[in-house]
Amino acid sequence: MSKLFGRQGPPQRGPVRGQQVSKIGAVSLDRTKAQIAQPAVTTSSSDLKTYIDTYFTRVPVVGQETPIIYNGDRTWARVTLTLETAGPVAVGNQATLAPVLSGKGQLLETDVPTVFYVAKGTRLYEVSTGINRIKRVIEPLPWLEPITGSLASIDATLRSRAAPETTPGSKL
Amino acid sequence: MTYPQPSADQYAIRGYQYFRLATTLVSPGDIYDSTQSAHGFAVGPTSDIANVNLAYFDDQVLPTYMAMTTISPNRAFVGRIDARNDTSYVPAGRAARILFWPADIYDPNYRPIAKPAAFDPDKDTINFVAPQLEVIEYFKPLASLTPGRQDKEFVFQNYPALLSGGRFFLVIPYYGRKYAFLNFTNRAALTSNTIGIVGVNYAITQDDSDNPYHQETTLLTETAVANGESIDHVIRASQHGMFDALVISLDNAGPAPLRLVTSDIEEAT
Repeated sequence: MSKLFGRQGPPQRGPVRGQQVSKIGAVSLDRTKAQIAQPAVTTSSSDLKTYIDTYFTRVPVVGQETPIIYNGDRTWARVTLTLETAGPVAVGNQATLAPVLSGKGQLLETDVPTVFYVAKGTRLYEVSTGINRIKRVIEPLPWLEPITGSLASIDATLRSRAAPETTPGSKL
Repeated sequence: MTYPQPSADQYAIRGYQYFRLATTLVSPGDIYDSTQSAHGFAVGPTSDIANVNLAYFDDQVLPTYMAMTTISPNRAFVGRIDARNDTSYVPAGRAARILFWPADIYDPNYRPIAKPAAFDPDKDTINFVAPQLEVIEYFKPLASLTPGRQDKEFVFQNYPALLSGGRFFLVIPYYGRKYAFLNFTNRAALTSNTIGIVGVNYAITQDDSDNPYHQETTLLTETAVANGESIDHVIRASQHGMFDALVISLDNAGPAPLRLVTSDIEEAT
């Protein structure tokens, strides 16, 4: 076996039709190790549902991780946030958002819906100075991933074909 | 004050667009806070207190980081004020919430000094209508804010039984008011009832000292009202001045209906 597949073992295959595949990426059960779930390799029907709720920010506590208001591990999404209170609430894709008025994120404005197109693998963090009420709508855009991939592929192809032929010694 | 005071956070969690603090003052040192940021502050319609101090975090105000302003029935504050629960005032080290408290003085230990007569603890009785503080904190942006207070009516009818020669004093909040109308009728069967009105401006003082600093102005000299008779009296800011409280003195337990209307708008003569 090892002679056939080398040290890598047998070739990995995609999920077989009818076979159950966990939506959660591989994680270790060792709780002493920090870990982050990997982006999923499949899209399930639950990923295609629109998610609507109200999100409450919390009083920040020194030493605690920056809260995540949307975790884009699964798919691309259109995230609409509308602050219902006076704030201040800052939102951004970097975990180091604090202090809230530093400009490291974007401040939400009261009663003004703010839309973010969040790419797969991106997280949306929030930081505030207290309890705030935020309307949250998450609309998954799973087709953006293949479209983006196709566009990138087409772009790469076009670039390679459009590249000028060079001859040895040419400075182009 | 109600203790613990209502939490502004609960108003935010439940989706209210404002936090309304309405409480009766108990002592001159009552102070309140909000952990919610605001887009505006105003004195509420039922407030007896006219001037309310606001303190909030401003890192350009050294060395305390505490900026202050005052709102009144004529002047609300429109603009964002942040409750900075993530930082603290200096040197107190307390969380930099928004703080507010009455700028007007209230002294529940006040006793008449000289007008209409010095308070006699052996014969006299005094009751206070404790001032109401109402402050509204708005969570939503406001284009403008015109607060204003409602006219208030105080109605009384019977009074504590008095020892012979004693007076009953009734202290009614009058902060920032510009007009008052008093209507008094003696419905006692036989006896007269002597009524007087004194305007008081409180001062910060030791009440147990021999010479408290409160100021007293006679607005209606003590007048005996015969049984079955009425008396009307009008107090205007332009004519009589402005006072923290009106002190009404009576010398009979009644019945004697008394209606007092106070307003921020001075009616024309």
